[in-house]
Amino acid sequence: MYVVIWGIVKFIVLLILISLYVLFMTWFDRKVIARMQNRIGPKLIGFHGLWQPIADTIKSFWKEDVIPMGAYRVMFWLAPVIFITAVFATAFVIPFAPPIKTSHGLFHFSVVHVDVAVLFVFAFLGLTSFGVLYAGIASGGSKYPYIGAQREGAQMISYEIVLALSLLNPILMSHSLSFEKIVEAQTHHLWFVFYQPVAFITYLIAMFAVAAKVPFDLPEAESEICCGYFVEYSGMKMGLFPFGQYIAVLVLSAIMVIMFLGGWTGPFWKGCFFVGLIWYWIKIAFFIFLFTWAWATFPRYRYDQLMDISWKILLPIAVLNIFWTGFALAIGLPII
Amino acid sequence: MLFNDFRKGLSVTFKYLFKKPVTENYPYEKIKMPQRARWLHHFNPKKCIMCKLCENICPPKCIYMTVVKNEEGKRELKGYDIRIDRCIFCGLCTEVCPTKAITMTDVHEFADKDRKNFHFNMEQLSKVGQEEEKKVG
Repeated sequence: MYVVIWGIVKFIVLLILISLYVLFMTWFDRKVIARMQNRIGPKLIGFHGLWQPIADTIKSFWKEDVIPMGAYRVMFWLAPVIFITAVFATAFVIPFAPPIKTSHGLFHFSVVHVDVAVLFVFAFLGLTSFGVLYAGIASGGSKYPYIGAQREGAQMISYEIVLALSLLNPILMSHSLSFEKIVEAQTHHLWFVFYQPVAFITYLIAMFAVAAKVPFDLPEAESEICCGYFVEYSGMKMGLFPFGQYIAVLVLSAIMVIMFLGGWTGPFWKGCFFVGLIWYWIKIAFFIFLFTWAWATFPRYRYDQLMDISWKILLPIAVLNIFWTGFALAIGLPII
Repeated sequence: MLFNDFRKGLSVTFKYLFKKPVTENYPYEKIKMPQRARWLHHFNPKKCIMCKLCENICPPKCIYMTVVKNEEGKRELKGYDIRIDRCIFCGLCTEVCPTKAITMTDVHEFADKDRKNFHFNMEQLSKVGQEEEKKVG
């Protein structure tokens, strides 16, 4: 009972925090990209346009909810729900702060604390593409959503493999699937990025592809298929897709920080909760900024280039890297 | 070097992050018009010699001059109307005017919902941009 009530409280707090994060991420994205293109960006509503996302949300609530005539109604309704549920589930296991010691043991700042958190995240990240696929198919033979959904399916299959394989190296080195233990393993040595630079880079590239962000935003390529899988959606249902994408960005950045950059460890840390909290969020904020930064910088890859990068370059490198890590661990090289 | 093009692109956008935006803060801060801006006409009835050159050269024919003879038998300017909604702001009327009776000012904020407000008569035109008259004339 105690666990259930705590879980609900944590869930509500997470819901509020994530909603606020997504709201102000849209503002941040628009502002940063505007400045990178020598524009100002939103500036009228509130201080430097800070209430702009709230105005946008209110607007999207009052939008007419159009369902195309040929659409499969049930699936059309379910698609954003599946997408947002799966993405939200990944955020459940992400620790939002370093654990603190209480009299009952460790208190974890994640909704659900599981020892196989990495597996959990991957299971639900894989499920998110089902929401996208449903959205594309349920739009009733509309061409752009269909193409976008196909692309999302192929892209997810190609890049989740690379993502998982590159995370296998830190898992092998720390002998654990739990985020806390992986961070703990990095306190004894240097951060894993120094032992696994190749895995770091493959994960970085695959991260952009799994989140379907620029330069790999093929499922929703605006200039080719004018927003891809959610062309036929409007109002709040449409808003759920970018919402989920922003959560995916946060989750993937957090995994990156935990797996390769030592989570909440850092200089002057020494087990202090607040210093750890600051280090943790500085690192995550950098990767979230990197997504925005790349969005303002890079053009989109072509579809065949996307597939080539995954299957011909990243996958062989990731597999060879695992062999090397396993070999090094087996003969006990002094890297660990 | 591997990923060098990525580094170049990212550094360019990062530099632009700290540059001053070029956006004009328009309705809140007025734009300074260039010196030779061609906007709403100013008409000086005292200078006009009623040659009707402006009326003839106007490509959309939006200038209407009314010239009548008075009791002494002299020509007199009764009306000078510009339908500014048809004007293309080409400036030919000001170029052709031998006495510079019609000039163009930098008054450009006269948008309206009613077409009637785009019919400027002689009295209105003579008051346009009086403070800028020296500059433009």
